[in-house]
Amino acid sequence: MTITLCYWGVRGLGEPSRYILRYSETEWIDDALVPGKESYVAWLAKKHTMGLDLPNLPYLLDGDVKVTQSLAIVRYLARKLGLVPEEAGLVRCDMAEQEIMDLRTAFGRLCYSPDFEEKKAAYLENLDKKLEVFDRFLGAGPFLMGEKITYVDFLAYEFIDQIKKLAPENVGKAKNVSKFLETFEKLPTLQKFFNSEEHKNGKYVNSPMSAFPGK
Amino acid sequence: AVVSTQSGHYGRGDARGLGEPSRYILRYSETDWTNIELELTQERREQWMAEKHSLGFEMPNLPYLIDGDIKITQSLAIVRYLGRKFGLVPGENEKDIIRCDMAEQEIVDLRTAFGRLCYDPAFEEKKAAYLENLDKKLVVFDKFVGEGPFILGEKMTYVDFMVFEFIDQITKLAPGNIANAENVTKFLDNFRKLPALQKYFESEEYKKGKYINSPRSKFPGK
Repeated sequence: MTITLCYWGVRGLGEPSRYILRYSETEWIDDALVPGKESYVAWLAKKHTMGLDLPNLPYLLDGDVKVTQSLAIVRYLARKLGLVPEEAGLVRCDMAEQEIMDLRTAFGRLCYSPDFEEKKAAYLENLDKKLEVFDRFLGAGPFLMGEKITYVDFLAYEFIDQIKKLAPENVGKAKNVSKFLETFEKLPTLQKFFNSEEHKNGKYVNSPMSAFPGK
Repeated sequence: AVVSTQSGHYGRGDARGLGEPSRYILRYSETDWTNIELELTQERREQWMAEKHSLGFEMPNLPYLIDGDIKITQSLAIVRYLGRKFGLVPGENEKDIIRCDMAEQEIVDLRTAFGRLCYDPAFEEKKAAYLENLDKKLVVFDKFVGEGPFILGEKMTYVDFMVFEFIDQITKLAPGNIANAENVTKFLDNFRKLPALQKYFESEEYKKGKYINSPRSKFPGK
């Protein structure tokens, strides 16, 4: 049975899971909803009829497994596809995961803020401080957990790449982070995607209606 | 000894905030632990900002937890660590793990929306819309909680501590809305009867009450 991942046709919170699926070379269906009222109305009509315990987007269907909440989906795929750390690495992995989520949340808040322009400077100042710490934490890598790639690398890659659209110089100043992004972009099983029309066309980071759609 | 610190950040105010679920796990475990609560003053905040990078944390933040030579930040990383330490984890069953992760994230979403409202300068204007959305979320969550007694049925896990604490916080703001959710209400009642927590529930500290958010927020919740 083919895995289906359903989410808006933007990067948002769903792209890390998409990258994991691309990386794993599993067959999967990218059920991307066209951002806009029509899709939204259609979603509202069907969300409570799909057998999802906590209906939401993104959702993942894998046989009779049905998962919502982007982080629950990412962790499910990680367990399925061997992208989890050893027991001894769980603390570091959890801290990395949450730090990355904090970075993404702050970015998302700015991008959807009616006061985007006014708040941008303060956001960037704070981003610099956070990136300095995260850069040191990441260290030589190549991955967050050292030699082994885990699901947090997919979260880190995608969300920092999103932030880079807004703040390329700030991300550029973080040396280990920049090296990490490059390493990730060279992963062999992701070359097919990186060379694809889809990737080259680019995709909205956020809703086209936000203050920073990021396409 | 296990040390736990809570933020008393001026303007950030995580009094119960995001750290209280971990405190409940520690109380429940009946382990020896030290609860470091920073005063909710500007002065204490400045002191924290000055000292935060010299305490040996890889990514300094509040709350933090120290257990021997283990140093953890990020409230969810702390709560999951304590979950593993005290056997409050879903186990190997994949369905249980998925359910636990979904519950964890759903309760984080509920807490985040609550927190955003509480710190919004337009608190009064936004409250009605928040409560309307809360009601919709609670209908779904109530069904998800089901009979209980815990999120994973008979097995207690760390997410129960998050669910209890964060719903209890929201109850301060919206008691009627929470009361409409029958399974959730029953869940809270059950949790308050846990034997290992009676000492805390009968303590002066608990009876005095604690700020949920910063005293300077729109809804301090004390």
